[in-house]
Amino acid sequence: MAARKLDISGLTCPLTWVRTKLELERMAAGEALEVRCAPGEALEQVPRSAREAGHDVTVDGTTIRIVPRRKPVTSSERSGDEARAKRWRRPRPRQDRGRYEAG
Amino acid sequence: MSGNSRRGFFRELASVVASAREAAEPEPPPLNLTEAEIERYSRQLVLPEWGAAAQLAVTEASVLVIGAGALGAPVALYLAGAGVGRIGIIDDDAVELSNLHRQLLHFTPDIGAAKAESAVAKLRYLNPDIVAEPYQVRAAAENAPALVEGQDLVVDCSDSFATRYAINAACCAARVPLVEAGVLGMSGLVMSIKPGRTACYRCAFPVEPQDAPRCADAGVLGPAAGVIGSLQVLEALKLLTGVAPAIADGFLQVDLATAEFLRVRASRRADCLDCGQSRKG
Repeated sequence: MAARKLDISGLTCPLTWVRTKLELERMAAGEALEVRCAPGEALEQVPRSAREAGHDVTVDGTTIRIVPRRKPVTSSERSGDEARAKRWRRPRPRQDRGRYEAG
Repeated sequence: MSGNSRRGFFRELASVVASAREAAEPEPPPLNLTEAEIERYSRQLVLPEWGAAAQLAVTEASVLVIGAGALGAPVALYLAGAGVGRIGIIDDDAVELSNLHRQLLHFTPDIGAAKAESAVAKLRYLNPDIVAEPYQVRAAAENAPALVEGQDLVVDCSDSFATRYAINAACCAARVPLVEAGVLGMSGLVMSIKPGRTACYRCAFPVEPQDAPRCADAGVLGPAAGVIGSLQVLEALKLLTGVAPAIADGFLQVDLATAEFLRVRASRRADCLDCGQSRKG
């Protein structure tokens, strides 16, 4: 399948990654995205953000090739905060119920 | 059925299941965000949980905010900032000097102006791409059903228990998701309600308190209202977009004096007057 193409060379961070991310969201599984990027900050940040989101990334010169992964990685997973996020979601004991009726 | 035709049947079934699965794959949403919208919302669009789908969900949503006071201010501001397409503000009060320490939407020159109008004027400054509408009425049991009708979400930032129970009943009847919150002194609570699916406000608090202290008597710290209002609007955005699980089937009790956050569980009651199965309709 031919890769989709996106030119972000005229954009600055973080719009470079925002544009790339929005494009990735619209793509079908197995499709690849070729991002044309200006040298500098974006060429470092966009591959890093894409990897953090769990996508497969290869960089060739100023072209970033991204193959999207299906499930996006959440902020808490990305910051290594997953265990804390899980603990937060765990329901409290039922004896707490009704003790706090202040509005 | 012979062995062969049975195999044929299962093969056919497998292909039907496979094509149904394929059909169920979500279509990528069309990117109908303008360049200006992408820039305005870039810091939320960049979040892994948020994306074009979440942005379009809020853009197309109509949210009613009841009360343009201490909770209503952060709620309305963040809803408008996030790009919620249509925001209705209900308040029949006028801005008073004693409001200004906590009600971020109103400023000293607004004293005497209708709160709903003052709030909507600020929201239009903040985000001219959205529709903000002022309603100078007091939400009560009589008009609650008409007010919540057709809304995608109601955020109750009112300051009385009577209003809270009336809005809860109306939202349960109309099946409109609701975020309740209250703040007093340095503590408060927040609760998301998906009517018919999760515990409603009356399930959690079946009896209306009769001698509850009011804000005017007990006082409230501005930042405490800001924290609770911010938690409340975060719930609203969660319910609108599904980017994270809401605080449903229970509530969050926040004590800002001790910085303690406590999740308290609540369950639906079959005999709930507002959402119970015995309720008519």
